[in-house]
Amino acid sequence: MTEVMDEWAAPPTDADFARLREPYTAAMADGVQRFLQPAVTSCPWCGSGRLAVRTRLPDLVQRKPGRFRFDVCRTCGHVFQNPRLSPEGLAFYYRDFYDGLGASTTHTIFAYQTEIYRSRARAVAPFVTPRQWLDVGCGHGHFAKDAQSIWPDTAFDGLDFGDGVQEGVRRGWLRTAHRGEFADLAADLAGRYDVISMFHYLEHLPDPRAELTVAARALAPGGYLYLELPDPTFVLGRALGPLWTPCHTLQHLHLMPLPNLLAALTARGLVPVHVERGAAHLPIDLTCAVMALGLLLGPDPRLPWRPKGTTLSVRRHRMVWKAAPPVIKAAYATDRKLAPLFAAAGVGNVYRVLARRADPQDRSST
Amino acid sequence: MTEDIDERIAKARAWYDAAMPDAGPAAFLEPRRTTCPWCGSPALRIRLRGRDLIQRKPGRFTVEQCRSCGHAFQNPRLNLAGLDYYYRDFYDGLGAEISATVFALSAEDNRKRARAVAAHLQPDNWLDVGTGHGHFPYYAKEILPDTVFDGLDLSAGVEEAVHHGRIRTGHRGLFPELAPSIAGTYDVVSMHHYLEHTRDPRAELDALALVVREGGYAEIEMPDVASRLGRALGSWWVPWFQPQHQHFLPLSNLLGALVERGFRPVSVQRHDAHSTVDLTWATTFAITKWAPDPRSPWKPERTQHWRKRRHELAWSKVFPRAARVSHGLDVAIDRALARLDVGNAYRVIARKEAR
Repeated sequence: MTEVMDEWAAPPTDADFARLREPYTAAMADGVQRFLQPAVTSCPWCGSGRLAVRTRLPDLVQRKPGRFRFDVCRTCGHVFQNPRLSPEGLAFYYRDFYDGLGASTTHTIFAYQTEIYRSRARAVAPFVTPRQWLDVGCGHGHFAKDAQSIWPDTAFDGLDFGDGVQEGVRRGWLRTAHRGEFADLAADLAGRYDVISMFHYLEHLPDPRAELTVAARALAPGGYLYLELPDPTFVLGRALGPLWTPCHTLQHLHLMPLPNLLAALTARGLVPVHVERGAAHLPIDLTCAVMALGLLLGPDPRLPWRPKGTTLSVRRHRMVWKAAPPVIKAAYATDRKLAPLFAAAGVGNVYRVLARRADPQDRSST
Repeated sequence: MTEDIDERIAKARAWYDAAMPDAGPAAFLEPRRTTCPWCGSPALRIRLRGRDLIQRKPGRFTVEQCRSCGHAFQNPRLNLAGLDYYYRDFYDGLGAEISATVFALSAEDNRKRARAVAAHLQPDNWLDVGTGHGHFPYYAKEILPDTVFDGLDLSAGVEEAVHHGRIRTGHRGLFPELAPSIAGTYDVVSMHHYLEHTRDPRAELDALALVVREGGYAEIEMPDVASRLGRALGSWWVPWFQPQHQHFLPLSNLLGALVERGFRPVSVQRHDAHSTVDLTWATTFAITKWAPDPRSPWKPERTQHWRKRRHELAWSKVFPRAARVSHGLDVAIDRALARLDVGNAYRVIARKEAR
């Protein structure tokens, strides 16, 4: 097991970067503008035409080319990518993020989230003793691995459209792997799970509400849907503008304010039984903002989707990342200091909702 | 039906006496709920404590508002016996004449509602849900002479509307129950100041999505609880309309629910849906409070002559003057609201998209 982990954790070599230059050049030959669908003029959540620009930004994670915009609906508060990436565009920007060149970075990040994963697992304890738990959008199954220590008798299955889910089974983190789209697989999975979790998953989908409908159908009455999502109303997030992670993650198509999500759950007979705002906060906003700034000032000259490195860009990259560690450290310390303040105020960069599928006969409980 | 008014009141008194539970009007209320009926959040706050300011029937009512999604609702809400008690003699019976007079004043509002839809299509047929006595179709005909109007209502008013030729077909009953039998048959379905009276607005919207044909339109108008004026007037703000109004949807929640049901909002009007009546209604509330009708059959019988006199004087001498002032203020407020594009109601027109 350790052996495979090391293979994952190994950062990509210069040759790995160089090998990809040709395919990326080909993919970008017609420009990246074609990856964007036409912009919409009304809110995808409520249909209102009162839209305002929330932030404009480049790709601040991978530094792939392209300009992006998030709009906010002034009627319902929904935040969304507009224009939105097409399926082809998403494939382009997902590439080498969780896998390939990005694998070692994302793996390192996920490996350090043990405590967060455990706290997610613990939070359901007052409501349900899970027997069968399905994690939708499980990636490699890092959550299941850490949740197992909280719920040793629970069977954790994973669903994802990437091949990480099979890797998760191979490593023994997941019992069963369901590979594909949840909407396609849900009919076969209906009634089999007492908890279905979606951590930082809904915001990646083109139609989050359709996914909630699928989840509601897949749960038997009394089953639980467990969600964690970025909160677009978070004050520090608004202040950081393009540097706020949930915005500069181009895979995020929709950021739903909590009231909209709660109403969408209730409309599907999913009764919210537990909502966490401040307690679920992840103290990473400033840290990630500083890292994004570093990537903006000194991008890795080897990146195959950027112009070939020059002496200047190589030197700039080296200088920026030599100077960065103390700044990142300071930013992280500040994040940690702010966390209890946000918790006390009951706000945070994410919220968690646990909702119980009501008996369809009992309309009064919804 | 040519009964003397005194006889009718005496009969009504007997009914109201018998209908009042031993425990008093509190028995007309269901248990208070602890979560928002719209989004399930337990973060509720009391928005309003009020009474029946129009008929002055006994009872106290509370409207709570959800801190999460902004939905406001009567809580505890009336049970079915309570709804029966408070609706009685309001639109029909003893209240028929008064409500007909009030509806007649809304001619221009009704024409506006028809014009707003006419901007999008010339419908062949139109169902008005919660049509009452068919006042809306009556005025809408002026704008859309070639449209066939049908009406739906729980009350007998819908049959009267057919009788008077205001609508072609009258559907009497609950909309969610009738919807499957008329699914996909209408170009336009309207709900003007209707949804707030229902017990389950989502079930009504499900029915709406069923009855409007693909490519057809829905028009919804209802009170806007975000109105500043509502805050200023407190419980005397007429859109609270206790105890009849059960649910107040913030615009965003209604729009979201429409989109979920396959509608695309094509027009949202705020000031255009405002009716310039807030202070005039508040004046009526004052008069009914300080000079109540001594004949009201739901109140203890009072026969003193001075009460009768006070009631007459209040309506004949005080009200016309007070109403002139309050209407003037309403008009002035209306001008200010026009600039801000807000009002005491909103109107949404949404197109049912092909699935």
